Amino acid sequence: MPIRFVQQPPVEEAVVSVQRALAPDVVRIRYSFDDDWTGEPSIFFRILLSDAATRPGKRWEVAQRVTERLRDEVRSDEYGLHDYFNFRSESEQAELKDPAWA
Amino acid sequence: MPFADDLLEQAKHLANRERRKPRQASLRRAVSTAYYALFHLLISEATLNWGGVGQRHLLARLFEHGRMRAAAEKQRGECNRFIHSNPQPAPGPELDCARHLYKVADAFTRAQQQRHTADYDNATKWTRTEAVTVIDLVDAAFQSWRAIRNEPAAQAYLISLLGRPQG
Repeated sequence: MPIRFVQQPPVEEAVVSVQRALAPDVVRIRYSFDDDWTGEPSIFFRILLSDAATRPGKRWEVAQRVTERLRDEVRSDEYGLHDYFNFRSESEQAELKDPAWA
Repeated sequence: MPFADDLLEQAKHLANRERRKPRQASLRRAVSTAYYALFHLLISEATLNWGGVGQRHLLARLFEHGRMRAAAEKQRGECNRFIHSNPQPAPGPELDCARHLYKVADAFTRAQQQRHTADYDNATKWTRTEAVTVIDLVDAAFQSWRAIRNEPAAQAYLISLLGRPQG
């Protein structure tokens, strides 16, 4: 792990807590540390949502809620980390079988 | 319809172009176009303040992605500190403005990162949900911007997009 990522927020506990609190809309949350395109240390969240949660009309509200909750709990800015959020539906992941989202 | 709105509409069109199996080209262009919609919205708003209409397109070319990103980061941090300050700021126009400006600056930073991945990372597979949530983010930023575009803090943000002030 690069030395710049040694100082990490306690993400795992926060992720489990958010996952539990926002189920069944949130199926699971994965994350990784990497630089963003400007070279700044960042945390990239991959949030798998239920198909129902990704329907138009609900999707944005759920994505907002997950983002705010993760920011509140992880507090990545206090560790000098930028945060980014990607959302997929369960059926999309079932088709792609992307190990980074499994 | 202004250019930025056209771009946002085009991003939505691209993200939903194929009903069943969206092409990667459509999704990646949708994400990139959504970012550019916000990029051009802010630039067009900034250049509207330039009195010489004929020179606005020249002024627009001075804006750079990296500097706009740095300004967005700074603005986001300032708004965040104000919104979460202790004692809590009183409800009212100043707090509302800070919340909207936070959304605009935050959306800019996040959409720019997504655009970079969409344009340059051939290994990343996009899904429709990923693309439309980026578009949702930009759409919300458009709405926030329109709620505050005449506020002094919003106008100061536009100036900051040009670069780092001296002193």
